Amino acid sequence: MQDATIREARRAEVGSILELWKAAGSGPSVTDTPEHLRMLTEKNHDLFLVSEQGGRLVGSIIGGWDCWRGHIYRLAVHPDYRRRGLARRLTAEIERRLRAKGAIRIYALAATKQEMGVKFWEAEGYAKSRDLPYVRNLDS
Amino acid sequence: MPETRLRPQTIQPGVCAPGRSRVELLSMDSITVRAAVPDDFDEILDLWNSFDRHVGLEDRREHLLALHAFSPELFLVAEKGGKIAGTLIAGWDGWRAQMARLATRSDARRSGVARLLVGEGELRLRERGANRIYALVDRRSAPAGPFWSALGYAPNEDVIQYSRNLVQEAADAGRHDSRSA
Repeated sequence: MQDATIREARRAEVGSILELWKAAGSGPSVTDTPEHLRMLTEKNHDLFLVSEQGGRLVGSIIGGWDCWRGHIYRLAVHPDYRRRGLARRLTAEIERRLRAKGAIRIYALAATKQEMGVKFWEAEGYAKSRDLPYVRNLDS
Repeated sequence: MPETRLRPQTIQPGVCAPGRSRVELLSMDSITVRAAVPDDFDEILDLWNSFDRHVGLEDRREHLLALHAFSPELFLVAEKGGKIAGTLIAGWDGWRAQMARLATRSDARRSGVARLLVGEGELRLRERGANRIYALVDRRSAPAGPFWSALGYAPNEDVIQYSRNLVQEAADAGRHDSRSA
């Protein structure tokens, strides 16, 4: 079977991306709306990547760059396409792009409920932080 | 006329209740919150370096210049008595907002500086379209958790924060290369 391709997400496929996240158990959060994702494909297109195989969206990753630190969000792989190194390829590509922009440190969040996530980030050279994330949703 | 009657609206430092206007908050106890400019950078670096903290990455002037060029209005300082009393980087990457480098000069603590900085940062982030803001809290810092909680932030115990230091890796790779060369 041919390897999945990795490319930038397109505006027209935000619905498929939301479905992928649901299937992969990623999120949901206040920004999981077609409007937010469409905005991201326009304003942040080079850091919003998807993976496609046989015409199907099977993976995603979002890179964040605020010109201070890099962030990785929504690394998701469809359950049917796991254990093929896809998460690693998506991560490597987003890291390459963040590094090219000048990132010197990259942060990623792992869900405590999913042991796989924890193992994955440790295998990729990430160290557990002493910091605890606090979060606030602003009223829209 | 006693001065207290001339200034009936004086707000006590540290009691910055919600609902007050932005103008009042910004001028509270002569603390001014404004965007940082390159002339501030040496003073900002001195302030950050004055803290006894674990430094995994050196803060350099070039990093501040890059940040300033990228989003000048989201890199904030609080000024008090002509000196920089605090800093905040209200990072916005188009998906999430991240509060970083919230710092208050030791002799300006307990005067509402941090609260003013965060309030102004939130206003500016909201204007940019952010609606989910993260703040990383050092678990060993006793006052940090209650501070963020009081401002409406909740600890997210469902996630673990991981990070990768690319500069350290590059340095390690360089040492390895010179050994094997």
